[in-house]
Amino acid sequence: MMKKIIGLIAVFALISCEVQYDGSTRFIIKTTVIDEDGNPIKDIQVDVNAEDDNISDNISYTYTDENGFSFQVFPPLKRQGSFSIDINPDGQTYQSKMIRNIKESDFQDLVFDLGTVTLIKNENIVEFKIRLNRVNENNSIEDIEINAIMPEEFIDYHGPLEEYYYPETYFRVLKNQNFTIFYSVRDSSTDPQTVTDYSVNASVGNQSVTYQLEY
Amino acid sequence: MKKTATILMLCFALQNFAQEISTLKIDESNNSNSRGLHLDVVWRIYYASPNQFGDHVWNDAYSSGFSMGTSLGLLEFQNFRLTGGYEIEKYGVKDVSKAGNFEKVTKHNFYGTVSYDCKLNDQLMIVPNIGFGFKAITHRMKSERVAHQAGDIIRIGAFCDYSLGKSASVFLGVHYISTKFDLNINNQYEDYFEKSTQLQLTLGLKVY
Repeated sequence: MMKKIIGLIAVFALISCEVQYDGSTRFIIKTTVIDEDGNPIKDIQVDVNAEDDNISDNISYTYTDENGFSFQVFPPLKRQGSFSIDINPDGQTYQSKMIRNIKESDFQDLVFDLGTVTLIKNENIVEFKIRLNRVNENNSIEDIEINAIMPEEFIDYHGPLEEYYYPETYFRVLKNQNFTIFYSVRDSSTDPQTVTDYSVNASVGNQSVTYQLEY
Repeated sequence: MKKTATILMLCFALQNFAQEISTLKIDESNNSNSRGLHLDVVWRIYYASPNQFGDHVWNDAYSSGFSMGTSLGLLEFQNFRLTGGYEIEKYGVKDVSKAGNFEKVTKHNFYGTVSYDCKLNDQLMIVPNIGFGFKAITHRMKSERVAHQAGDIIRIGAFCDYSLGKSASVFLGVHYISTKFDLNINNQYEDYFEKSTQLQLTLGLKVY
């Protein structure tokens, strides 16, 4: 009788411990990595990270093939969580790019096809800084955006995770391009207060640029 | 259903082994040719070499490590035996993109077989057998069990026993083992990820 009980306990002990991943399911992530000229990039590391309230794991990694293609299979989290795809995490030669906050609901038939991702060579990226110069004390900057070609190193798949309380003034952009700066100015001297939108042309060459913006 | 039946078969075998032998004999006849169903203990312990083959993820993405097994046969009827067994197989991951970033994978195999003792001479016996069972697989990351997986087994093969004396033999075994996993995956990749096929070679000791 004792041996029978021990045998049953042993069987269920092997198969019923709490686990973090659903081993009976497999998710698939596919992507293709190209450079700014549209050429596939081989041997780029692609990491898949899984996160929930308790864990953060590198659940899969691989390297792109000669067509820039990566294909990864892994079990999903048991609890509700999210995934991130980190492309070229060491940032060698080409930029890094991380796509965050991918949910299980974003997988179609258990497959998430990220499509084509463009990486810019580090030597082709320069800094564009905006130095704000307030000439009217009643004015404040509400928002700043530029329509330049940028590496976009961090992408939230479902939109920004947090609101920024200060306008962005530092950008990494592809060198040798012209673009437009769009900004909004709030005038607190009027009642009600007014917000006016402005745009101004700018450009970068081979070197980083600091642009003075008066408002 | 197969999983439940195999566990029940294994537990029944363990329970009977714990009891007095004299209370279990169904046919006490000393003539082996005329004996009906009776208790006849045969215990095997063996080293196993699981050689995966074919187009499936277990052949491409995993590397086999140490494996061993044991089985206990209790009931015999005119050279047919009913046996329950357990095997443990250790694997490493050699292609993370297909298997996930796990450090180790362990397969626990539970099976029941029907075999037939075919005595060639005083030293040699061939024991063909067929059976079914189930696998319980644990995936480990950072030395913790983080994922479980299960599958059903069909196995067919034979042992070749060489007698060392009245109560022991050494044996070699060859078995074809096919596994079907219960896996939720995109239809396009089902065939590659849901099955495995292996040719298992075994070397061990038989006590009877």
